Amino acid sequence: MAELSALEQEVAQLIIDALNLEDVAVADIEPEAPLFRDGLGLDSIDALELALAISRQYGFQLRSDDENNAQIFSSLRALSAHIDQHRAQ
Amino acid sequence: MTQPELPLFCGHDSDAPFIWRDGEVLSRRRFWAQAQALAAELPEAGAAINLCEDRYHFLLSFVALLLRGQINLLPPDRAKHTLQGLVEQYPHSYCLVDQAQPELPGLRQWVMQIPSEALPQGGPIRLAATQPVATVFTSGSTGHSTPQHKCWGELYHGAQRNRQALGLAQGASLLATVPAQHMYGLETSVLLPLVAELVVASARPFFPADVQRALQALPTPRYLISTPLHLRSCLQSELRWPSMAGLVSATASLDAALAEALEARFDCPLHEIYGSSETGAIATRRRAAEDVWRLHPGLRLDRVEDGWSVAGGHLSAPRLLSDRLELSGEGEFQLLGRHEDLIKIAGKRASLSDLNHQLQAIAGVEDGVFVAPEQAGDGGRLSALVVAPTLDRAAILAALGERIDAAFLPRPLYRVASLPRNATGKLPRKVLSAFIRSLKESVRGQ
Repeated sequence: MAELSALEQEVAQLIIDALNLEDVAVADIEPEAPLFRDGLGLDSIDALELALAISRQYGFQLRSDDENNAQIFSSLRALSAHIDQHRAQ
Repeated sequence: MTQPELPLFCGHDSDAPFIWRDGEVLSRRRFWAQAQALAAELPEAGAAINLCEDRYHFLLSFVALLLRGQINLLPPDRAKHTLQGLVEQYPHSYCLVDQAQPELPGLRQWVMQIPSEALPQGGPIRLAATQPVATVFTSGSTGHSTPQHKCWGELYHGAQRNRQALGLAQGASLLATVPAQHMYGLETSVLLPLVAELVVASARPFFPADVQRALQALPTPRYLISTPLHLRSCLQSELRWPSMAGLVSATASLDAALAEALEARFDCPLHEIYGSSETGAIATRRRAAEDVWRLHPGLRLDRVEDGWSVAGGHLSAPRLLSDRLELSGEGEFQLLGRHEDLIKIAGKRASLSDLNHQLQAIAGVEDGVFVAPEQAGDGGRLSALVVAPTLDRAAILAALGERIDAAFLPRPLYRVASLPRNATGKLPRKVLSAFIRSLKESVRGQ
């Protein structure tokens, strides 16, 4: 299994908690696998929930026109990198 | 007797605003000229699947199709199997799209382009009230959707009643988070600007920060047309909101506490709409102040064999309702909830028994059941218990994803050794709830 950074582990746990994915463990989330469609198979309702959890934990808001949203949510690694860049210090 | 005719568009020669798009306002006159020019360019067909996501594109093509006598087919989602099913039903149709969709090979696509405006203006157009203009498809759990045919009179009169019931001022701005293809989005973000002189924003914001920014770009008075899901996420985002004239919510009932919190945060009234794809909007209420629904003027409810039907008003024929309700006064009623088997998630309806059937039909699934969320309404997702010793979670979800709409995919999905069926093979709700609680505890205990 690929190694997760500390932030990636934290974000993986955030995803599991925010989306009630009690049947998934942090270790099950492939860092480079897509979060939506395949992989975890998340959808737009999940994206709203996740955006809220991220704003609470990391103090910034996601926007559709910020960047390519598909890119931000493309994998745990991409989402963690986006959070790392934008989180309130 | 001559057929009554109704205007297709109000203000064809007016400089009054019609739509806000990228910070720019377009007049009614300009829209009308562009819609007529577009009508001349569309291919020959009896119907078109209108997939435009940009609301301005949708409005232009919606009207252009009507000018050409082509039906707007409005699918419940844009999944490949949904669209392929539609094309099989309407072999001579084509897809109207904002941009070419490479993931939809084999479908005839016509890419929307806003026409140049150097065309002569036509005069006002009236349509027969009985002219079929759109077919809305109710979402089923299996992707088999039922067509609901809408004639112009029903949409036109429905929009006028909606405007009155919601108390929308003429010329006010609307921002909608809902798609134009959904009946609620069609009635509000499409019909209100076309025939009731409201001004709509082209944007369809998604995240709360997008909603906030799009609202700030609109002139006052402004209204937000949304759903419990989006309104809840706006409330919880703790953003600062610009001054609002009103919020409108539909697709699922709001609970009173959430409605009160929203009115307080946005400092404006919140009106809820009750309706369905079959009926359009038929009742409203201000949730923070009342829990009874007021039927729109001219409509009446009739008791039928195992439920209620609604007739009169904008409706060309009586329609059945899928909710159980109780009359509580003249033109007032309370919703008692859905028939047990029916569930609604993110505005989409499904039958639990049908979902269970789809789950159990997957090769490798020996037994399985979907469990509805404890709290009905918005946000809750289904969970599922599955007996499938040879399949992992991802394989089960992938197989389900081909059979049912993504909104019904289970969160969480528990793989178990057997289901707690009783002696008659049934799964009583109480037993299931207790079983799931014990699973949750064992997951946490690990």
